[in-house]
Amino acid sequence: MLALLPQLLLTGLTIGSIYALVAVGFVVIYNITGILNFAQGEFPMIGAMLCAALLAAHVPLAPAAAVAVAATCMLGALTERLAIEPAFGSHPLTLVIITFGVSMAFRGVALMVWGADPYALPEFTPGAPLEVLTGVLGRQAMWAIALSVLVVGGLFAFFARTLPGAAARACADNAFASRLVGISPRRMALLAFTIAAGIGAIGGIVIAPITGATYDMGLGLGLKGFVAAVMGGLTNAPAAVAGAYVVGTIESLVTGYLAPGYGSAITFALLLIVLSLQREGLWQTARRRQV
Amino acid sequence: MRMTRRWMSRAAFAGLAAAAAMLAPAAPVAGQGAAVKIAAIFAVTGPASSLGKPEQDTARLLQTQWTAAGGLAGRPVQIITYDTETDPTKAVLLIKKAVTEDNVLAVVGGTTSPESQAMADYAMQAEVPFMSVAASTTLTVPSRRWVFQMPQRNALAAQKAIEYLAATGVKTFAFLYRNDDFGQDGLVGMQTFARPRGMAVVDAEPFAATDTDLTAQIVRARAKNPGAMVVWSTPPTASIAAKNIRQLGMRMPIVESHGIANRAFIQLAGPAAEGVVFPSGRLLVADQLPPGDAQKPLLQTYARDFEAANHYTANTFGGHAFDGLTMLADAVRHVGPDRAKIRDYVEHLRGFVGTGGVFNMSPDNHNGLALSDMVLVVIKNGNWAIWK
Amino acid sequence: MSRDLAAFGVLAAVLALIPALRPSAYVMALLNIVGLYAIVTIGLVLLGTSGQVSLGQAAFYGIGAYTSALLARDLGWSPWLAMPCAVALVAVVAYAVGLPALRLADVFFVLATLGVGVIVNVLMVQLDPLTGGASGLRDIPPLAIAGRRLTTDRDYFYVIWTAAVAALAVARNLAAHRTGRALRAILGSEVGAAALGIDVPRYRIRVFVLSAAYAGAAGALYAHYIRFISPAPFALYASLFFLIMAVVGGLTNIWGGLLGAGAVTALDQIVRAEIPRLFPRVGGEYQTAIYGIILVLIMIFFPSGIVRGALDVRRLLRAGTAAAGGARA
Repeated sequence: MLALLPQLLLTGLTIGSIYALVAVGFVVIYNITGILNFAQGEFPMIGAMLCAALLAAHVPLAPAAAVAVAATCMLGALTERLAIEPAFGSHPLTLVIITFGVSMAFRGVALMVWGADPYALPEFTPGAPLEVLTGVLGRQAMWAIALSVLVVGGLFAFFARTLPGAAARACADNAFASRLVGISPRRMALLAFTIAAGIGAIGGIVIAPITGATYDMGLGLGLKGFVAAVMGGLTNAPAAVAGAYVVGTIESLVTGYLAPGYGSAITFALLLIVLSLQREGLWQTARRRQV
Repeated sequence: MRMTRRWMSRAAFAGLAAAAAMLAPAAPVAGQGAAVKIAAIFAVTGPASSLGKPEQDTARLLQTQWTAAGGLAGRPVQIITYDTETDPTKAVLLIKKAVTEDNVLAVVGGTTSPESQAMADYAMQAEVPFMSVAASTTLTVPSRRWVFQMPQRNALAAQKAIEYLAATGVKTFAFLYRNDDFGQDGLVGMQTFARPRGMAVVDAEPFAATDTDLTAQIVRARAKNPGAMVVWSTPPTASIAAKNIRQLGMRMPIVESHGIANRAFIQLAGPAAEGVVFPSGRLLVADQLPPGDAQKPLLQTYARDFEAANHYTANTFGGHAFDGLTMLADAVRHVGPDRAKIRDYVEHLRGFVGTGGVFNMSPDNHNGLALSDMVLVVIKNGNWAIWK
Repeated sequence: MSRDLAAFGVLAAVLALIPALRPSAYVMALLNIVGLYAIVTIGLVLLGTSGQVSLGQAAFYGIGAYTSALLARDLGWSPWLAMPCAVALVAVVAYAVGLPALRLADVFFVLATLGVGVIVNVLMVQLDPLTGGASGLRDIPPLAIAGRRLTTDRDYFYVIWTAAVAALAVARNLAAHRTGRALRAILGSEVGAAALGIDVPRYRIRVFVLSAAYAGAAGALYAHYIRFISPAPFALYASLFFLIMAVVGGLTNIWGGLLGAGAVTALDQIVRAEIPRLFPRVGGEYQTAIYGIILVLIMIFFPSGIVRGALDVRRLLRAGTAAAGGARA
């Protein structure tokens, strides 16, 4: 039984790396705007599908990925302007339902444009998987893990070192006070959606070689990424990434040792436990929002 | 200011609503007095859309072709398509709409087994011929008077897969399946047909359609030392399974189901697709069939027409819709637009060449396909080939 | 009060008139489904009056359906006995879920209910020997009255809409009396309500259990009406759909439950009927997108639902005429 453990842990890492960047996107938007964006899972879908479409048009991978990420950023901004901004300041539940609507709209349009069949993206560096102890870790999973760390680092630098980042932090801390010093919460919301969409698209492009890309991948990804974000306290990007790896590992261990088929039930049972134990999540003790 | 802004936006919305309302009353389509109407009720959206979409596109293709050919038996023909969103409740509502409001002659549809099951009850009650495109064995076993089944039943596919395993001398295998009606039905089939051949299912591992990695299930199965891995699902999970198996360095044969009979599997699984064997109808390997094959001309024509009309290649799911619709057309040509006569005609249809095989219906076999209607396909150099 | 009574009168009259118009089986079936959805949505609106929203109603709907179906099918119970037992079980489950979950702040409560919905759906698929797995349960016995089996859509029209009107009446009485006042106080301010001596947690759990029982009752009726169930109609999508209906109707007025279910179904029908006429080449794919966009529009322009939205518009119009009249005088 113990012989399975190294592989199950590595599989947990792989699954976690798939949820990680979605979770980070949740956190960025929740932090700055207080909105739970259930359309977050659609950004990886759009990113991966756009990238696949460009590849099919014989664009090389790197420029295709760059264009896909940029286009998804624009879609994120557009989402904020068209769907969130007009309802700015509404009840949180109203905004949550709006994001559900946005996610349906994205899914429907993707089905119209790309159809129902899954699309493939090539691995960034094809080749044999890495052997660790008695288990294996795919090369693309390593890319996903590295990117999740890199993106969190990039976010940290952005919020700590740049002026718009500082403004966003101020807005997250206290929207009213930041307005007094000339920071527009609306503009910050636009920034948050743009960044979160970009992060989502990067995530989508890096995981599509592992999972394939389908028009309806967003809902499942969004829910799991969301659970990961809640596990990390919803307000802390590194904790959200850690939450993603915890969720992945638990899914893998439960499937491997206990009951295959119950993976998502266990994930959500975990969500319920975390929610009822501690509203602020596992690692978050301070109530203050931070990025 | 805020008030006016809200008010204006509401006025704009009211305007939109009014515009929508104005579009609502629409003139009925003229001159369909004697039209032959057939309902095509598929899961165009929702979880089964990768099956339902080609089914719907096939219905559209046939509508165009039949209209161009001057209708059916001298009458105009109308295939009305409906989308169930993969929801059995909607499927029931839509078959009622098709029968009681649109007055269709017969119904083709029910992409997934739950949809088909729910629709079959109403077809029986309303006495309307229902050509199901779902593969669940219990749909037509035992036979139901008004229900016919177009795809090779899961049981048949399982039997064919077992045939391959037996031929290669495999004694034990592990079964990985998507835990929905497709996978669960496949499991029953494999267990049923493995036993008489002296084969053992050493492990059965379910997974969800949304799973992104199946390594955990595979290492569990590996611990039981199976001689082969059998996977019962559709892409993307079917491809993820193949990839994960090869990634773990496992070299045993991989057998998959007829659910991977599309290009997406090969694209997603990449090198891991090489050597995968699966039971399938002959559509995929139409060009490799011997010249005398009964199905060959039909399959080649269907594949060519479908690809010309749509942006993607034809697959067996669309083929099931094709078989249901052409079978009904054949019936209408012979006995005219009468539900009871159509049912009787279809029930005794023999030697009908479709994409799924040569149908030989009888009162206690409303599927009419046999083991010989499936072939074993092996993936070689990123393409399909008939396994000897 | 009297306006509500008048509304009940109108509703009863309309319902009584419908079978006389001899609509097709499809229209009857559609109305029956609207009736079932309305029962679920009224429960959801009742919950909404206490400031809570649930994304787990489909799970309760499903538990009701499966329990009643299994009791009647496998144990041979009369559906009339099986249905109340199913509702009781749903209430127990809801109580067990609600006790810890209701302590959470609003958005997190929604997530907890969503989690329950996912878990219950996985169980429906996985507990294969009991539930029939993903392939579902066939041959569920229909309802019977005095030995006559109810099989037509018209029979069920009477049963379902009697239940729906009863559900509405119970909800209205609750909303109009002591409980309703307490719930509105909670909606206004939890702390304030507690200060007034209202036992906030107790009211919350009561209304949550009641809303789940509504869903369970609708589910039980569904099972005996359609006579085939599978996990698909009870998945997360359905919960979302119920919530959309409640929100479209408005979460503060019990009539919103009925109107929301009716409006969303009507919208669905219009979209289905009109889009193919406007764009003959597109199929069912557009519907998801259009629903999404309409949902966003409704939430932006009528955040309190179409009932309140219509009232607001009327009030504005009336204010406009009054002002104009005043100016003339």
